[in-house]
This record gives sequence, C-alpha cells and structure tokens, in this order.
Amino acid sequence: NPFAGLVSHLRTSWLSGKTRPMEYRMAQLEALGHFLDDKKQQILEATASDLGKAPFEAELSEILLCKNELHETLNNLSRWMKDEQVDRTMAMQLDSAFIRKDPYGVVLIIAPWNYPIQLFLVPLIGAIAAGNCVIVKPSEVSKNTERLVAEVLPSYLDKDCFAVVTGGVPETTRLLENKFDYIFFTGTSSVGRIIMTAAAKHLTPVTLELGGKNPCYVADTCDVTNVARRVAWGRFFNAGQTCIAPDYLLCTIEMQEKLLPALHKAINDFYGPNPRESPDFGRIVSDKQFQRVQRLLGSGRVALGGQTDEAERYIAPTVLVDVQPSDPIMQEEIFGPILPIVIVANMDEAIDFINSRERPLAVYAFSSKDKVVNQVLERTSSGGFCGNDTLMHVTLPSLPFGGIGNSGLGTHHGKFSFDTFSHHRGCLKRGMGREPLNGPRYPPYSQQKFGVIRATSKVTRKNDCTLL
Amino acid sequence: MERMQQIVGRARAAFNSGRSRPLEFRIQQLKALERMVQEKEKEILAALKADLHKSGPNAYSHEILGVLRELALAMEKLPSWAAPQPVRNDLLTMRDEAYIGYEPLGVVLVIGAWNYPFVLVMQPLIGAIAAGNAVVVKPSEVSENTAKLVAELLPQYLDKESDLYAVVTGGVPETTELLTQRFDHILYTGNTAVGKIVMAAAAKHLTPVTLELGGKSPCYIDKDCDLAVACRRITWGKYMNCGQTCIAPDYILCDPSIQSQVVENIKATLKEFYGEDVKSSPDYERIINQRHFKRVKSLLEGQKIAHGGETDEASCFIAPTILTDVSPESKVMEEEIFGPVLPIVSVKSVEEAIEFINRREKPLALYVFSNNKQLIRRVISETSSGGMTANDVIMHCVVPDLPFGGVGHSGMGAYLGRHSFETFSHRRACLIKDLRWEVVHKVRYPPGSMEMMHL
Repeated sequence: NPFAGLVSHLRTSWLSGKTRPMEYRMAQLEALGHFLDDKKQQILEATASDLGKAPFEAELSEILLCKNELHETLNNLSRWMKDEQVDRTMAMQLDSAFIRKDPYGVVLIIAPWNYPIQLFLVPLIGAIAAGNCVIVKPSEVSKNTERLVAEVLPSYLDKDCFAVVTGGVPETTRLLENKFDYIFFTGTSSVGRIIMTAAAKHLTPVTLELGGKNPCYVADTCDVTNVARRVAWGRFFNAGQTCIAPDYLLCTIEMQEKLLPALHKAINDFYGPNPRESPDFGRIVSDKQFQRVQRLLGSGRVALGGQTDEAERYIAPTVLVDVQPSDPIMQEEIFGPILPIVIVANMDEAIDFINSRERPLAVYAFSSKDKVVNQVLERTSSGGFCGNDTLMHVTLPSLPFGGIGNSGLGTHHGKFSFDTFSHHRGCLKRGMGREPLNGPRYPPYSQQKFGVIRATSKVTRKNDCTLL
Repeated sequence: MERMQQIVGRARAAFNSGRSRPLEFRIQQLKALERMVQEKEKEILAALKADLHKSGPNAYSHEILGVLRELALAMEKLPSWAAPQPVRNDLLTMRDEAYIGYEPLGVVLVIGAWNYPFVLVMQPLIGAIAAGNAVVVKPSEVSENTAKLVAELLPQYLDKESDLYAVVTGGVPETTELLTQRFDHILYTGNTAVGKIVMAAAAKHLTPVTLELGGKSPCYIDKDCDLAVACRRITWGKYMNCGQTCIAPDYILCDPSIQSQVVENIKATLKEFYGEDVKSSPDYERIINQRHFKRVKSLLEGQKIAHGGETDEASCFIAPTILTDVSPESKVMEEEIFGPVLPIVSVKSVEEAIEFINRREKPLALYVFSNNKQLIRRVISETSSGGMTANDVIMHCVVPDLPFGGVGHSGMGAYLGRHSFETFSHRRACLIKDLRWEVVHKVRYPPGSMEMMHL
C-alpha cells in the first residue's frame, strides 16, 4: 500500500488535535489566499496550456470564485464553528443541548480537469475550515495545472496536515484502499459509483459532484436576443466543459427559427466571425476528449459552426438541429461546445421529456412568463435550477451546490462546504443534581410514573387543524 | 426478484404521479399513523412483549411515546420545514429570487432493527412521509411479532388508494433482493458489517444512505462526581431492554480506586430497580433469541464477575452482570456487547481515558460523568462520537432538535425531528432571474476585458 505511510502521517497529525483551533484553520485559509494571489499568473498560464482557457474565464472561474469562497469562509468561520444551541423539552430546561461541529479527520478530495483549480480548492477551503487534514488528488488530465499544484501548493500549507498526491487511475485506486474519514469526489457518474463502492468498505461518507445532461427549455414567449446570449454564454464557456452547462435545448420549431439567428449573433458578438482566432474561446482538454466530442457532431445537422481542428483540439461553437432523442449526442453528457436543439410541441412535452431521463445537475427554463418558469421548476427534479439564465445559481455561496440521483449526492459551497466536512454531533450536558426528577423513568415501572414522563416530555400540538 | 421489482416499481409510479407531494396529503398520512398508534396500542404492546419480554409502561415509554412525539412534531412543523428558504443575494443577483426549495427524493427504503422494532421503523417512516416520499419498509424479521404487526397495520391505515407505501417482510435473502432495486434514499439501522453491504449495494445506484450502526459506547466516570447518582443513571441506561440498546453505555472507564464503589452502587441500584429476584421482575427484559444469548454468554468466559452472571438458556435470560479488571484485549472489549454485561476497565486519568477511546472506532454515543465542567469540555473536544451526554446516558436522543446519528463505524447521516425531514428531502438551489436587465450581464460576456473583471 504505497500511500499508507502518508495517510498514517496525516492521521497522527489529526489525532494530535493540531487542526482544531480556529486560529490554525484561519492561518491555513489565509495561506490559500496567498497561493491564489502569488501564483495567479502561473495559474492562468497552466489553465491556458491545459484548456486554452481565456485569461478572463480563468480569472473568473479559477481565481475570483475561489477568493469569494475564501472570504465568505474567513468572514463566517467563527460563527459556523460555534455550538448550535437547540430547543429543549420542559424536563430539560436546566440542561445544555447543542450541536457540536466536529471535524471528521483525514479527508480525500479528488478533483477533475475542467476547472482544475476551483474544483479542488473550493472543497479544500471547506475541509480546512471544518478542521480536517486533507489529501488533494488533482486530475492528471489537466497536467500543467496538476504539476503546478503538486509543486507549489504544499509549500503554502502545513505539510504535516495537507498533501497533494498525483497520478492516474492506478494511483487513485491504490489511494482508495486506505481508510479516509470523508471522500469528496467531482467527476463522472460511472467513476462516482466506483468511489462510493470503495468508500463503503470503510464506511466512509461521501459527497459526489457528478454530471448529466442539463436540459434548457425555451418557451415561445421570451426575449429571444437575451435568451440566446445567456444560453450561448453558458454553453460555450470553457468550450462547453462545464458540469452545469446547458447540455441541450428544448423548444418549438417556431422558436428554433427565431433562436438560430439570435444564437448566430451572440456567438459572433462573443467570439467574432472566426472563434478560432478569439482569445476568449477555449480548447478541448485532450485528444481523447476531442475525438469523443467530435464524433457527436454526426448527430442531426449542423446549423451553426461545426468546424474542428484536431491539432489545436479546437471545436467551433456549434448548434445542431434535426436532433432525435435517440441520436448519439442525446445519450451522453456532451461536455463540449455543441448545443443540440430538440423540438417539442409545448411546455408539457418538454417537461415529460426531461422527466423521462436521469435527474440532471441543473434544469434551465427561459420564459417571460413567471408561470412557465415555475411550472418547469415544480414539475421537474434536478440538483439546482435557474430560471432565465444559465450557470449563475452556482455563483451564490448562499445556495447549496450538488446533484440528485445520477448527478450526485451531497452539496457544498459556502456554509454547505463547512457542514459537509463536519460531523454534527448531538450533545447534552446535564447536572448531577435534581435526581428525584429522574425518578419516574426508573423501574419498577408503574402507570403513575409513566403519567409523569408523558406530561413532561411530550410535544404538544398547538393547532389541530392547521391545514385541513 | 420480480416481486421486489414490482413493489418498488409501483411505489415509484405512485410517487411520479405527484400524489405524495401536497402537504395536506402528507399530514393526512401522519394523522392516520397517529390514529393507528392510538387505536392499536394494545396490539403493539403485545407484540413488543412477545418479542422482547418488554413490560407495558416500559414499551410505551421507549417506543410508543417516541413515535407519538415524532408525529406531533412533524405535523406541527411541516409547513415551516417545507417552506422555501430565501437566501442572501449578492450584487449580481440583487434583483433575482434566490432560495432553497425542499423537494421529496422519490422512493425511500427503511430497514428496521429488532431491538426497538416499532420505533426504529416508525420514526424514519414518519420523516420520509413528511418529506413527501413513497416508502418501502422492511422491518427486522428477528423481532417477528412486531414485523408481522407492522405488515398488517400500515396498509390498513396509510393511503389505500395508491401503492406509495409498502411493507416487505423476510430475512436476509429478501433484503438482499430488495437492495438490488433502485431507491432514492436508504435508511438502515443495524450493525456495522451489514452497513457496509447496504452502502455497497446503494453505490451501484448512487443512492444516498443514512446508516445508524453501533459500536462500543464508552462511559468515563471521573473520581470527582456523585457516584450514587452517576451509577443509578448508568444502570438505567445499561440494563434497559436487557442491554440491547445501540446507545447503551457499553463499558465503563474509571480509576481503579473507585471501581469497587462503582460496583456497589450499581448493585444497590439493580436491587432498587428489579428487586431481589431479577428474573421475576416484570420490568426486566430478555435477550432476543438463542443466537444472541449464546453470543453474550460467551463474553463472560474468563472474566471476573463482580455481580450477576446467572443465565437461563430456555428463557434467554441473562442477569444484570458487572465485570471488573477487564483486559482491553479480551473478547468482551472487542465487539459491541448488546447485552446486560458491563465491563469496567481501569484508567488512571482522563488523558488515558481519552487516548483509550481515540484508539478505537468512533462510537455512536459517549458518556462522561464529572462535577468538573472543564473536564467534560475537554472530553467532548478531544474525542469524536455520533452523539454524547454528560452526567447522564441515553438522553441526547430525546432532545427533539438534536440530530441522531453516528460517525465513522457507528454510521453516517442523521435523523429525528427536522433532521429527518432534511435527510429525506432534496435541497434544490433555485435562482429565478428576469429576462430583462441584460445590461447587468454585459460584464460577463466575451470579448473579455480585464477592466470589466476588476469591477
């Protein structure tokens, strides 16, 4: 077991209690802030090499969003760490009942390649804030960022409590043989199953941030120009390699006719007539991914874009029409800059279509009628939902970010990260006095004693007919 | 296989119809359960008596009371629990509606245990129904009278017009088959070994799980405490239900100098509780079956019995027993006892106790008795456990707003009260924007400019 020594070392540090004091956690978090500030240029360069990430996108998604999480955490940590006092029954008025937020111990964070800094750093912030020791396993696919993180991050953090492990599938498999106290995984559903199965051997709780096909319904009544811009932005950001990107569009044939020129204009406004020359449009991360996405271009008919360049791993912002539900592009998460449009007759058909498939990470609905947006929200199920925009619901630290069903389990961001990486321990502190009050609970039992118990411990109903 | 598939399939179809979502419907079901408990009290108590030799008032206060309390809480709080929770906006989303919506998960599986067979099936069921789910209940076959009763009663009282709620009875083969089906949440109460099997089965479908397992819950008695009171409380929690309680104090840690006092105090309390002849006390239960009887009895081998030790295989009776000078390496200190045997292990200081506890798997509960508040704070801060009580035992699980659950080998997730509602709900992040105000969004679109970035 090649990683046993490392895990054991971290566990020893954990047991020493080093990571528990608030000052320690704040210091490590501040150090993460310095990492982001000092190494900003290197981060932008590494993500540009890995994904052709535009500096604007990289600064927004890899630096700014992380700093927001960091500040949110630093600002609130002392409040989050406090014991949460709870209500007591009549019999326990003189006792102290509270929820203590205990760290789990040694946490493993496995990150993917599409937002290679954000997707390990944001959970890491939560894990550190909650008082754990952490092993970070960045993705080997975004290899420049992996190298940067492995070489540079450890020098910012306490090496006794935090470590970076690199490698691919074999190394991750060996790593998972060890017992962790929590595993946080971001990636595909199929690997999510493998992670959870490995975690089951040690009864390790997990959070799995997975994926799926995020549907985007566009109603007939809407501001087409704005819809096209918001959808195009969400779809083509990071060359489509975003777990919450709108994966496919559902609309009527009439709306499609209006949308196509609007999408064309939006793409042109964003990336110019030849997106390949725009510094703001990304590239596919690897040859393997490029070939996978390129194959999907065969579904339906290309209405916009469709150009590719293998050497650059460039796929143009593309819109496909005449797409059938049975086409290959509708069988897997696209994770590329292609937006297929599937025709539906009306909102009900769109909702049925969405509900006949696995529950996605996000559902999007566009309409100038509130009622339509609410209908789609109420009649579907997904990790999160955004009406009249894409992606934005995950930028609010006060909203939980997570999936449901095949798109994942558990949540994080903001306080949800802190709560995810803490064990919520129910605590009751009683006094030794007033022992006669306990009398009724002891044998020998009697109806009379029982009457006292019932009177002092029950929860009374305030209103009998609240709803009916 | 087909039968399970059908049951779950029908529950899922019923859930998809949306029938279980309206709050009125959920409250109707909870009211029906309340009626069931009130109308069938006699039958429920009879089943508990047959399964565990539990006396009336005892069974009522340990099982029925808890169920009625959970029902009352859910019915009262459901509207506020289920209400969407608005959240703080930021500058970019100022004009938008941002909130967390609570939605049902779908089809929930509740697997019960045999030691508190009624309440351990009912409390999760209440939470799952309150959260708007369809529920499949699998009571433990070991407590067969209660299992049979639950299978008879639930269909009589819960929604008869749909397949939302089902009870599946049977043993290991049936449970294994059930676990191959896809659920949207599984709550399992039982032991660590089976907990791993449940989680592995759930992993195939990416089903979230709540596992209420067990372990050895330590009980540290400080020299500085009212020993008579401490021992009375410990005796109550240890020997209730014949020691078959997941949060019973499993073993005692104390200084050798107070060991004999502890023994004397417990002995005195046992006499107070059960009289001279424990076997004839109506308030003392029995071990659930022969297998467990043999298991617990074997833990006594080679041990110094300071009190008790009498057994009667025919009636699965094991007397309240205390073991002294127990070696940490002995069998009784390896597995969760789940019986009326209380080992006392010597430690010379609270540091030694903390170290002892931390060297072992994280327990479901942890107990510490002391007049020294600083010492209590220290024990809490330097250990980890599912939950804990200071200066008493068991009681943290009756505080309505405390989450009840384990950590590490003692489990994952929690339930009871609002924690049940949250466990069985999906918290959906919702952001509703306006299609207008596009000018606000210009900053985020390409072509990117770094000046815009630093706004």
